[in-house]
Amino acid sequence: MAIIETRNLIYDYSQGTPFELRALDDVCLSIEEGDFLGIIGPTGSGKSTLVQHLNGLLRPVSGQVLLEGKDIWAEPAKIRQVRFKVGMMFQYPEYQLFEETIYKDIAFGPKNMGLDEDEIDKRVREAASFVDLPQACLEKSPYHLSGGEMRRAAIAGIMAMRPKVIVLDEPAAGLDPYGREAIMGQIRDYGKETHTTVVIVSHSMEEITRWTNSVLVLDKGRVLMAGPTEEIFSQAAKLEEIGLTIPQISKVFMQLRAQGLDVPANVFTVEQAEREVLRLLAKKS
Amino acid sequence: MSGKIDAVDLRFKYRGQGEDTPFILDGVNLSVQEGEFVAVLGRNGCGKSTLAKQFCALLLPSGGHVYIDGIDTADEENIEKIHRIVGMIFQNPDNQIVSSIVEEDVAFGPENLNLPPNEIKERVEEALNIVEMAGYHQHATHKLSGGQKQRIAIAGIIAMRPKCIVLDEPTSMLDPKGRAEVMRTIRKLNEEVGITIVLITHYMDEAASAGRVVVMEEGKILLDGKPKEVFSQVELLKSVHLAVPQVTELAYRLRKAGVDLPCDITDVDECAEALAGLLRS
Repeated sequence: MAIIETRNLIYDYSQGTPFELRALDDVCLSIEEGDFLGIIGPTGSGKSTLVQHLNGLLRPVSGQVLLEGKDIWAEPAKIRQVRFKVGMMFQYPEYQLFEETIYKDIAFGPKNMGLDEDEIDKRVREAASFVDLPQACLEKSPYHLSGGEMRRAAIAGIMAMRPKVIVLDEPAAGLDPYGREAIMGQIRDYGKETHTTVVIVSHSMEEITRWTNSVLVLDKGRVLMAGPTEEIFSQAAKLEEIGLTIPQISKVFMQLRAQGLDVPANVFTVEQAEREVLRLLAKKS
Repeated sequence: MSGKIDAVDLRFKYRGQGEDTPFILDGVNLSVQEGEFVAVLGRNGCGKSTLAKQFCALLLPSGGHVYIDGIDTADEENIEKIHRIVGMIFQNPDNQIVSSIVEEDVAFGPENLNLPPNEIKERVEEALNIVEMAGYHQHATHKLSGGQKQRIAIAGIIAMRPKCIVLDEPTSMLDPKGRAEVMRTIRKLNEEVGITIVLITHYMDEAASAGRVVVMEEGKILLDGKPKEVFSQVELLKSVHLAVPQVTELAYRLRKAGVDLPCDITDVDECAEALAGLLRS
């Protein structure tokens, strides 16, 4: 079942002024419940504008956003409820931590939902353990944590609201390779264990191919492609055309095909490439 | 032209950190020669940003010395001299723009050097040309893309005519297009203008394009060599939370599985060529 759908979404910045700019143009998408979706596209393609529609931070000029089949703008006064169901994390969220302690920061969302103290406590500790933040961290000031820990604390703040969908804009940017791997793994496990739908925006095609199940490609405010990750990346040349940097492995296999070698098009991770090369070599000998 | 950096048994911790806290920099010995392009890698918290600040005398050694063109950074009287030799670029482009108009921003440094107006104009012109932002003189800085802002920040440094530029993760907040623009500018500064470059980065492909790669771990230098030498140490790099480029990783895994491949593959073309050779023969 689709948890979020958009129908013919249109959005203009600076509407009614000479600077009017169409940012989203007839965007139709459908996100399945429990999916791990990656949104990719060159700069200015409308990625951020689109995700801000998913929890009602922006209101479409025309078209609809449906959450569990209901138009989120049917009752504008209740838009806050939508924001509890669709949790959103912006880029570099560590700059948005503001409370005295990590505990209070993670508790901010649940507190605003009107939950009682016991429930809040339970959720804060649960969320902290999902992102592997030690309990000892909870009483510390955000400023005494490392960048990676602050990032995880910010993600925990979203998880503690137990939304049905979490939307994360570049969740791993700026971390070292190990930190990236750890955070992405935690997000995936969280999605699986709690059956939460996860949407990430990322410029790292290595990351998209490694973690997501399906991909939505935006270009100039329109949906260029949508489908299972494997299908999308087997058309890597099309992604390069719109200015996306494809994974090194995809480039290697494109070069091999260009040289007339019979290798498959759907290879884009190191693991796949290793399997494929070994298989081809075994076949030859 | 020079722009030589020497760190000799450099140790550092912040004032107020007790005796039981380990040193953030713990005995670093490193020489960067005039005209070199050195990439510094290391996990979050390994001390690489602290090292970068030592090279610009924004932080001073707790022990040992840093010499910039032979000038000791510890001597307060030298600070101004050192800041003229070494410029620094930080991660967030928004934090480095001081003016709302491009040319005024680039002119900020030279103005502070008390140069005559004509000379300032000349330097701004030249700097904007080098970073490929000629024609943007009157543009509003807040309307530029991240990559453009970062290049304006670099232009502001070039206008001071430094001999060395230290960049602390200059591309980590940029999109792929911005990253490519900034990396092209950095290579140009090194190859065409002859400026010594120290680039702190988390991107293995950026490091692979440098002339030399230094890997830090717990305040010490773990590896130092040509990119191919450093990236052939796959296991060691993984043990300190780093990675190697995808193609290097692939070659490493295939070699482990008994496939005959060279151990120094670091870019796509080399990898494709080696694999094509194998699959054809």
